[in-house]
Amino acid sequence: MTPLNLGVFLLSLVGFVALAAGMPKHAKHLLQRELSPTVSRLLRTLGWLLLAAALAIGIKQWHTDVGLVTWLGWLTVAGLLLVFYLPLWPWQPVTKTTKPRPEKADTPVPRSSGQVTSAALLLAAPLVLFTWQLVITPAQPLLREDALHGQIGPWTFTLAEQDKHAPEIVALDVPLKTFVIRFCDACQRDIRLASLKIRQPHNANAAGNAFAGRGTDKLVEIPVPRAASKRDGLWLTVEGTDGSVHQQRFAIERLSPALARFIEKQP
Amino acid sequence: MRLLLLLSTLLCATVAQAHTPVCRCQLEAQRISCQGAYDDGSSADGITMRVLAYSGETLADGVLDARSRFSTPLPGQPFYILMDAGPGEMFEVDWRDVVGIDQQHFDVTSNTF
Repeated sequence: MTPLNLGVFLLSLVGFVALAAGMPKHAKHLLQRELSPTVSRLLRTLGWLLLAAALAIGIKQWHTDVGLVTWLGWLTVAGLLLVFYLPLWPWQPVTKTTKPRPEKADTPVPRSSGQVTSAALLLAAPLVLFTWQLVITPAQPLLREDALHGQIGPWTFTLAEQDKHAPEIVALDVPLKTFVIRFCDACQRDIRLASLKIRQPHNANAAGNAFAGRGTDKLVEIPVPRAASKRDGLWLTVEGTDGSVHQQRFAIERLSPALARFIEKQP
Repeated sequence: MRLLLLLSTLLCATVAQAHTPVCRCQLEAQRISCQGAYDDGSSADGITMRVLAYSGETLADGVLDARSRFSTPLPGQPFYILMDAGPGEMFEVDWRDVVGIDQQHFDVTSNTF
């Protein structure tokens, strides 16, 4: 679990507790006393603010689509935790009965172990599915924490390796490594070509392979030179529609530890 | 028929996807011999090959032949070979990457822009 996931979960949990404490019925249950209307209102406000803060962190880190789903997932986990924990709380609410129930109503309805198991499975299913999805779904490269956020010339960008694996060996035993880049939305029309290569380009016409793709995320496959060393670095060249050329060097181990390890092991 | 056309278009679109040029060069009797291809192993015959000095001067050029091969005499100065498959689709072989060449063959540092 990443610190950000943990943060979203804890904010959601504390938010739910604050909301519960802000409700007269649950305040009596949780604190064994009634709170003043002002304190209750403050707690409810705090609860909603904490839930909103958890959502804001999710959207900031993972964008609206993934952030919203992640937030809902952690809300579910926090909610289920409270649902199962509150019955164990030391002070349980007193159940009021307006009139005595008939004798037979006091007799607990016998439930088969199958029914109990089915109910438990149904309740646990969302939690299990969410955890499973969280574990198996690979993070989008540009949303990972190792993605590099920078600026080249007047344009901001995010750059990351497509996956954390070593380069793929293709025809003629050439190793290829894939990277993905996204420029700021407003920048894209001002950029003619963005290229990436290992080693400093000799000139602008040999700046390496160009990023390409239909959406905002552009991909490039770059070859790993036979005699490459980590000192060569990764070079990003961006050519603007106005003819300006900007270059930036990145340490290979910063952008791709797997690529750095691969280069170290090359004969 | 319409379905067939759609299917053909989709299949052709897959074939037309950009692929990456790759190349390996080796030193053989004072000549550099290169074998080019695309990353999926398909032939790259007809692709332009240029031998350039670090200053940018073109020392030799040609195209990959029907067997996807290119050969050029070993230049007398540091060089790199550029397999140019189009804008943003290239493969660079620096002299240090040539199989069989002595890494101390040219005792210089790279001259870059």
